Amino acid sequence: MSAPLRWILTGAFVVIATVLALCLGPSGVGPGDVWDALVGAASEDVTVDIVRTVRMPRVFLGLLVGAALSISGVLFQALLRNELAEPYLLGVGPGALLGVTVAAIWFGDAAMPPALARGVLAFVGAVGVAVIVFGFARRAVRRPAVTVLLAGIAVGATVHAIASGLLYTLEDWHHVVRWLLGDLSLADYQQVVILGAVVAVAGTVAWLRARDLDVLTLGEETAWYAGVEVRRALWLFGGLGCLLAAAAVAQCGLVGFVGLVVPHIGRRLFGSGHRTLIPASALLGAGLLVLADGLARTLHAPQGLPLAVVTAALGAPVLAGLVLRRVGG
Amino acid sequence: MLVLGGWDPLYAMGRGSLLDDLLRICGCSNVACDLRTDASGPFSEELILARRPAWILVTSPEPMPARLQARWKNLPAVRDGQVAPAWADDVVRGGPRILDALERLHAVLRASKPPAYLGAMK
Repeated sequence: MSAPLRWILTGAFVVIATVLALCLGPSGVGPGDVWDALVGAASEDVTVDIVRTVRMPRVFLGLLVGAALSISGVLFQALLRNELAEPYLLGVGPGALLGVTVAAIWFGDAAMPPALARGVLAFVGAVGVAVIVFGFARRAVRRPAVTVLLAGIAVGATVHAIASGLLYTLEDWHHVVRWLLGDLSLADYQQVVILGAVVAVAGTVAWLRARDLDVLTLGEETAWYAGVEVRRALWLFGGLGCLLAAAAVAQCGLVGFVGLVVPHIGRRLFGSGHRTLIPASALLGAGLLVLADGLARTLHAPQGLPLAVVTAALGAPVLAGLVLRRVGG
Repeated sequence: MLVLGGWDPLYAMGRGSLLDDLLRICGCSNVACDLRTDASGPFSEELILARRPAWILVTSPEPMPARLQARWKNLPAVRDGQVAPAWADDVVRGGPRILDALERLHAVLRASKPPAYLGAMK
């Protein structure tokens, strides 16, 4: 399959997933109603409200969360030269969750603390955990990537337990589900603008420095000989990965599997060059997450399902299939 | 009618809850009657908009978030000011005083009295 065709199919996947997500929902507002609401021809306010105030911000936010988590996964996998690396396993996601939890307690609003506070504290939490976890790599003489992953699992589990415990002490345990299993039901356009700005800036910076990422995957020594300022690059890409993961967690809680699975699919379709892998993963992640959220709010109506349940259900078989194909040669 | 136990996340009382029983005795229908849990659970915002409840009773003392007031401005209950607190002891607890609560609820729903009425008497 030629490269242009792969890009066209990837773009078509995102468009189809977005349209499907706009048309999916428990209320029976279908494709025709959605079209009427979008072009201003809807005869009822109900349809316009459902499409424009509930589904659209949710779909836009889902696209951005998927892109953010996927780019973050690409960056961490490149930094560690390990395909198991992703924000959740490295503890960065739980670190961001702890930041959001502190914001929730601080402001007494478990559902949705102020946007700036939860964003800043999520980033602080994510970077704090990343610094601890990557600190283990400096001590590891052999197999530093594996050491970092194991440290990430250990530190992440600890931080996850602390955040879960603190959330559980809040007055309403439903917020535990919201933040631990991912939820886009409170999406609004303000969140879309904030996360959109973060994804645009961080994604563009990472894309512009994609060559450095390519060289880093060959090893730090090789990268140094190739003229990459390794220490600065590690801080830059690690910081961007933390920023993207924290921004996503601050908007919708922990959503697993996207940051792990999507870079694998991206590499399979577009190769390992980061100049193509970053935008490709962003598109694939956006499509996958928005499709998952469409299913999450439609299946098991009227309650719906937590987002992370659906991303895991969609992502795990895909990952297993990729592993089996690799094992089978 | 819609009975909410909380705003964020939206948590509704369905069939099997005490308030659902009271509403049915008053001749009202609960828009969350198809909840798959025994009595209460998270409820889709989209379905609330689609089913257009004329009244929303809230068993939580928290006021309606500004975010929802804007999103639900076309909902009959919000447009007509029929979002009523309903956390008085005799309304939310099954006991001998439930008959008083039932009478009061019936009067409020029939006469569209000010929303504070259901929460005012402890």
